[in-house]
Amino acid sequence: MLAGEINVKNVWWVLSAVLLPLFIIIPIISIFLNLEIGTVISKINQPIVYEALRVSFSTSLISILLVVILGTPLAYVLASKDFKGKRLLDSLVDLPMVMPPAVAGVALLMAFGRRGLIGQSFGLNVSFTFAAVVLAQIFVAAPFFVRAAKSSFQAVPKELKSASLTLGVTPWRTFWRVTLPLSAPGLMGGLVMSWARALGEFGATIMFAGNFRGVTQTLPLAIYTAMESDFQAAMVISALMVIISLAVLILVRHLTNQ
Amino acid sequence: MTLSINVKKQLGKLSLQADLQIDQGLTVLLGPSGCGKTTLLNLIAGLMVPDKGEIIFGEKVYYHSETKCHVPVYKRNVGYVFQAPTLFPHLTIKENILYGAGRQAEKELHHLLSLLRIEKLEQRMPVQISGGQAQRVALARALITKPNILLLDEPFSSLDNFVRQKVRVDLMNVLKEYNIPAILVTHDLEEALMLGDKIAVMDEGNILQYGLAKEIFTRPANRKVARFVGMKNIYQGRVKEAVPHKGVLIEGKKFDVEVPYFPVIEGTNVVFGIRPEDVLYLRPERDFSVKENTLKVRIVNIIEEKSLYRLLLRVTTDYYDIEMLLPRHVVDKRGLKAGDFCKVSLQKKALHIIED
Repeated sequence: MLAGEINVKNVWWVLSAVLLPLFIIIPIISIFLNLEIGTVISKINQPIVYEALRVSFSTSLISILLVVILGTPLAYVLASKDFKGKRLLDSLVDLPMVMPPAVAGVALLMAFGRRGLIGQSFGLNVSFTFAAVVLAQIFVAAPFFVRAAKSSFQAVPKELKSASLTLGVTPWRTFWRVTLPLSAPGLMGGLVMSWARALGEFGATIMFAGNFRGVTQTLPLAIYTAMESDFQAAMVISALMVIISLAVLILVRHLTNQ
Repeated sequence: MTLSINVKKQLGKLSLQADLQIDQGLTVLLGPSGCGKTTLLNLIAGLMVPDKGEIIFGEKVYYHSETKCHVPVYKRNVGYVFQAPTLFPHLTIKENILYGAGRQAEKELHHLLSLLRIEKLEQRMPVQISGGQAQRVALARALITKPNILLLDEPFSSLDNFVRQKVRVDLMNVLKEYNIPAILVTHDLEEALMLGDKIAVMDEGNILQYGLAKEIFTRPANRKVARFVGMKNIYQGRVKEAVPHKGVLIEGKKFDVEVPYFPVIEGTNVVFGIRPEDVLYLRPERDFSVKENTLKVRIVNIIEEKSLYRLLLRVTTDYYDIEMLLPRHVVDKRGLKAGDFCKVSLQKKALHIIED
């Protein structure tokens, strides 16, 4: 900043630089101000809380596993090969990120529900089950991982791969010995962001998986439900999720700054 | 073990066409940027696939378009040193060198480290060593896999001058000991002459001339090659008289010369040249007996170079006609300066007929 360009003492600059951060931090702090330790301890033992924790963590773990297994080869292909329709595929993979989550839910219902496209062909009905939660999470979270993985793979210089090949190492082993170690930080960052998105998913989940406690009621769904019946429980879950979000943020920054 | 290459490749605007037989020793691919020399190297390595042709090393067929045979890079056992060091940043120097080698190579490792003067760097990371050291590590890494052939793509271009000289010597030592054929790509004439046993001069995707380094240097096949190897004095003329056992008289556009006899029909248009360092300065008090192609010239300009002076001489009304290189002490002792007249001789054996 050149001298004279921005006068930090100028009230307008201060105002504009501070308003948005304030707007973000005040609501977040408000959650914690309404809690007492006693409340937290007693609420954690309520079924609505610990069931939601169980559903959220078990579904998201499975979702992330599937996202990584399916997303990594896809990201690698998008990063290294040029082919007809590549741009289309790229955009397709990004689509869930711009879609309204509720719409995603409806779409999943139309595909995998009892009278859905896939549902009818295979005689399945996945809607309103544990599996539906997983599918909804994968749908919304996958783009985050694939995008991050793709740019991490692209960041590995091509010459390094060529060098590895000339030294007699097959492309498969080159991936494990060169590409993966060098893109690991980016991949981890993508994984964590993707997991955070999966955990926070609400719209698609409630449309496609429904809100059945202990089966499909994830943490966000539990907050929604608890707001009417047990306000304090909603606070506790919210506070928990804020802490998780903070942890995610710190973790991602740490991993990608390596 | 001969590497036989006969390939065609179209890459954007470049139409590469090469037909070469490469033997033991170091072969240099010399040419300006964009001439296709790196592409040719990549075709040999297998990093690129030709459009047509064959690449055969000894008895192994690396590529053959007729039979649709293309041996992948990692099966060709070629060593490749890239322009930039290209070390694996997440591995130590030792791990880098041993990357492609088996476990038995550990003994070989120490020998290579001392030969290339990179001992004590084993545990360092690539970011911690200098460019010259990194290129030597890259060399060690390629050699330890005992390749059939070593390919180098302008390996010294990223190094500064002083380091470059040292690493060149390292390369020569290492090649002498390992005795594998090597192909080195460069655009630097000096480097080509210093390192190459044979040189292939390339331009715009074609091989203009291929032969022993000395041959290329003194007997360039055509004008392009001549200019590339620094034969600056190139002239056009017509054969006036051809007498066996005596010589050939050429009526040049700028001046006449007599060259050693070669079979040619009188009246033929020829192009001839002479290297600037072969233009002989005649000392007025001593060299009056020299009669070969003597010319009285006027010094137009004297350009200072590293250890010599480059004199631009005029015979006709052009700005200058002949370039001559003289050691500093001669110019200084004689007090030569622009505007002076002097006599030079174009020795018959130094004049070279260039086919056009």
